[in-house]
Amino acid sequence: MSHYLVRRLLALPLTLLAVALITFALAHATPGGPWDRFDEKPLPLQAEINLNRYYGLDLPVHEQFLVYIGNLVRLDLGTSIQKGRPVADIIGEGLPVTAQLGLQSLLLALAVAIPLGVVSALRRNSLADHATTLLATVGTTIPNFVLCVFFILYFGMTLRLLPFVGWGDGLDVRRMLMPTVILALPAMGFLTRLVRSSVLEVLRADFVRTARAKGLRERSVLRGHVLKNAFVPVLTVLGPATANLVVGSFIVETFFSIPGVGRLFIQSVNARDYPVIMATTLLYALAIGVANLAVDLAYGALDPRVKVAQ
Amino acid sequence: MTGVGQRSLWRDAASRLAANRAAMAGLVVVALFAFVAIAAPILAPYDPAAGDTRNHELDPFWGDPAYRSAAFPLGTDQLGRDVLSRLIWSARVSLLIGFVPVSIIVTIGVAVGLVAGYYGRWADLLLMRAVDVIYAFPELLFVIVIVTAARGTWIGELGSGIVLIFVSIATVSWVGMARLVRGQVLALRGLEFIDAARAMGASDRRILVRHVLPNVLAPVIVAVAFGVPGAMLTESALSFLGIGIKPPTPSWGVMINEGFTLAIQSPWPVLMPAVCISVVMLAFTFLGDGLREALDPRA
Amino acid sequence: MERLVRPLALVLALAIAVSCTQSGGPRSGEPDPNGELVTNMGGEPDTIDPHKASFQNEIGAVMMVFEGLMTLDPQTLRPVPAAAAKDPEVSADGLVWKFTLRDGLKYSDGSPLTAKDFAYGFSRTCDPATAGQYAFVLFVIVGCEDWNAMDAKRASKAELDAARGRLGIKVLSEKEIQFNLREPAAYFRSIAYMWVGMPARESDVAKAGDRWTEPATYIGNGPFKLTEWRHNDKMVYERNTHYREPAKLKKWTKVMIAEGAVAFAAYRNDELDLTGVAAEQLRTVENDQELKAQAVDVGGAATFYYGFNVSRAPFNEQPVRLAFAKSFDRDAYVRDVHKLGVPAGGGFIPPGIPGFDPDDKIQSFDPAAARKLLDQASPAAREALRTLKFAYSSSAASKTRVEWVVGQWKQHLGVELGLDPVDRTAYSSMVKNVQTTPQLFLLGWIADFPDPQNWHTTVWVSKSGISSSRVGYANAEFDRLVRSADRETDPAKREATYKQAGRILSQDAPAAWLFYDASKYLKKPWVKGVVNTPVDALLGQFRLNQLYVTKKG
Repeated sequence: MSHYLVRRLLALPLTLLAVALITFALAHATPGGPWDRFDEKPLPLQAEINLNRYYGLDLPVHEQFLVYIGNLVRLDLGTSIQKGRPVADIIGEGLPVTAQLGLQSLLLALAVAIPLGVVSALRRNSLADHATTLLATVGTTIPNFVLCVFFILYFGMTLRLLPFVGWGDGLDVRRMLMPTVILALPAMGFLTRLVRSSVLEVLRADFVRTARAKGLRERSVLRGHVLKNAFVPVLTVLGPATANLVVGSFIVETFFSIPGVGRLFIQSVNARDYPVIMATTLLYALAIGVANLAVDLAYGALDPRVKVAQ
Repeated sequence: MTGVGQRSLWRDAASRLAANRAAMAGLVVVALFAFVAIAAPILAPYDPAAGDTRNHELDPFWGDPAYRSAAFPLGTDQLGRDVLSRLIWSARVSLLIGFVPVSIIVTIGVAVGLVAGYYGRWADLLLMRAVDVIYAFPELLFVIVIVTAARGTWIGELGSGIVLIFVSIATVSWVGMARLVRGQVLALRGLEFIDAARAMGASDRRILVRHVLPNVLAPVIVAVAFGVPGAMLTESALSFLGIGIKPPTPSWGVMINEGFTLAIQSPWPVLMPAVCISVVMLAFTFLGDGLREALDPRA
Repeated sequence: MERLVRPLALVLALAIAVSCTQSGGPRSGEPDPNGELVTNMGGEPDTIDPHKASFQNEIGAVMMVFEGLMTLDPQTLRPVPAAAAKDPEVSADGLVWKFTLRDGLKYSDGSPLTAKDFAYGFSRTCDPATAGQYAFVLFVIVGCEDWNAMDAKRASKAELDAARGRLGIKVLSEKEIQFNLREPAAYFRSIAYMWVGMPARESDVAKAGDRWTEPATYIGNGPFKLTEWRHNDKMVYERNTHYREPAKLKKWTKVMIAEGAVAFAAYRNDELDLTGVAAEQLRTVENDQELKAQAVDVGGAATFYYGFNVSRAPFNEQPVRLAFAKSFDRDAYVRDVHKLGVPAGGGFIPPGIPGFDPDDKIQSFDPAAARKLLDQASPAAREALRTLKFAYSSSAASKTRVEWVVGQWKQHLGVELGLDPVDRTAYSSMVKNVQTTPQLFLLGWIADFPDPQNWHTTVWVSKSGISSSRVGYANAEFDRLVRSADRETDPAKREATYKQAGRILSQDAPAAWLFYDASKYLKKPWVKGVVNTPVDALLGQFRLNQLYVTKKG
């Protein structure tokens, strides 16, 4: 167990280094530089030279990479080329917003998916089951930018029910409603289907039949055996799901003008803002790595059958 | 011996699939979609890329009578291009995007997965390290980085950017397929019929092709059924972000991107492609669910 | 500044948290002393550092908080004193300029503002360590160019200090600052209004480094002070009570809605008091009596034109260029294709900018004359015409625009051109110099300051001009005229010389003038006192303190 943990913890920085190298190489291989957004008015030559010196872009690329990694080890993420401000500041402003949006979407998804999935499994092939499955499939299928367009057009512009721009101070429920629901929908659909199928699986298992045969009341069978066991597969997907929600919010953030980190990535790619491209990618890779690790450990703790040292 | 068993398994699966109404409905929509895509040049009344600025921003036939024309039943966009023709031609782009990268992924993924799973050792180790690194990237973001890196080069110019999207989706997704196949092979490796085949003197190659491959096909088919709409979704997201298919080639994502600026005055240019994407995606998902249930009755 | 990614568009957030305070009820028409204005600034400015700013939204943010030595008269666009008490005293040879500050100037925190602060502002722009993009406009100051060209990281401190010491900026007293120029540049009056010379306070910059543009240290001397900046969300400004003529408005909130469609909806919901109108919204505005009444037209200080690469066939021949320039209908272009803007009906300089020459009809639409000109083309040029392509930054909108003009040339000249769509970033780096620029492409110029020098000299002078260096244009007579006008001290003679040069430019036709920029915005009836000019980076920029909203009830 501890051996496994150590190995996974050691693998994480190596994976991050590989991610950093690939991203750095691809970003610098991308044609055009940070100064090519000056379409109609090209930058005066001297200004470009000074800017390259200022941001250390006058060094050979491999040296730039070494400098970057050196700074990274000292937890210095550099200065944004586009904004001229420390990258750490920029991420620090957006991350709480993105994390809040992601987590509350996940909670919403779980709060809906668990009861819906369980009920749907217990009443298999009923009308309610079919309706749930259909809705869950629709939820997982419709692209979120399509949902954004629908929601903004209908609830925002036609009915004028809900505001659709901005985040406010993060406490304004009406403002958060649409983005949170849209972000939650795919996870909700996916989790509902997962809960339903794992409850069905457990219901067929021997120990449940035994419990029933022993004459236990249906409710305590459900509580004592079915739900606990059905939750294991749900837990395994929570890691990637959390990471996906945090990462996947960039389209929603874009539509609803939410000042999170999601949009930073696309912006920085377009602006060839190398330090921000690196920082956002590494942040995501770290989030995914940590989430997976946490789930692996929790999984081992919850289900004694799983041997962590595979 | 295994041949007979295999055949009846497939037949059972087919009849289970045929009995699944949702999957059949999905299949019909997918077939219709494929027909529209293939017959686009015949079906579309106009050139989807050519606009006449004098006929711009016409409403669809149910819209404002002052701004519609019988010649353009679904209206025109802000550049005066026929919305109906663009919707039809977009189906063609989506069909290509749906199937081409998935074929690449299946070819590479199955080959690598078989080798890694069957021979193990360094091939396996290499694959799993690649899996670690590629899985550490959020998928769409990795695609975005690759697409922007190569967009300005010759490969980005091929087929209005379609080829580049094929390549980048395949680059990011083949490892998933390889891992899936590897897992299946590992599970099969210890089974009796493989040992039996080996005892009878079959070569590795024969065992792989005749015995292992048919047994990993079912999960691969299911993965393809979900991979196709996944690729379409990636394309539409990229095009929506303005880094996918290059204008003036239409795609549903491009149409949503371009239509959004007009959305207040006329939501239809956005809603129509949005509905198209959603319906096709839904159809593929139902079909994929049906295939999974048919091929793996336990689920 | 076109966006590559549309949704990024929506991007930069905003909270229309503050829905505007003045909705409904009768209004007295008097300025509300507690009035608040809510507008949209689109995306978040990348920087609001006056010595690094270069985009319109960045410059606009600087102009809210800072005031230069000079400003522009909104009617004539001529430079007039602002922080300076009077017009500068210029030596007889035109090389030494002395500005005297007004009495009692203060920063928004009440501390005094002296000539030293201005000297710091100008020299910070020249400093290579600042890496400001607009340093070049100060190269006319002695020593600025040499210092700016040094490597701030690798040169020794002694070398850098020596270069700084050679800079021609001197503080003569608390209230007097003197500039030594390389040439007698009459246009230096206009430069003195620009963001490059804003008096940022050295102690603020030193204290906060890269973070000095946050509200706590972003202290200026202009009509407003920045009190809150929630990044990617909003910027909140309040009246600077220490400004010499305090603003009528108490508070100005600028939200960040980058997508025009969303901002338009917010305006209709009374969540914004002002909003720009894009071509897509014109029909809605035209069909709505209320909106139509709220629409305001403003000219813009920008000209768009088709550039000809004069170093390559067929456009190395002047008659071919002029033939192309005279054979498309600019009125139809603006009416059918671009929808906003003014057809180019004069030379390179647009209306509203000193130097505009409405009588320059050299390039006016005349297909018959154009065909006669084309008949003079050499066999080599005719050969080149057969394979000619129009290169453009690939997007659906630009394709339509390019297709339109290609159609015109086919109809009026009988020349058939191919289309060459190029990826945007690749296009950007391709049109940087004459070796790689295509034969035919679209260009534009937006004024930095309203003086013909910033048009003719900056853009078209041989070799170093922004456009001439890209199309390979050089004309010694043109150079001689603009150079002499740059140094001319008599304003009337100066303008006449520039106009003369402008005629040469139109006749040489290294470019075909297409249209002058113009825009339209919507303004709620309770917003008053907006004074627009074509060079506004910010609405009402040159009379911000005059803007007000009327009282509720």
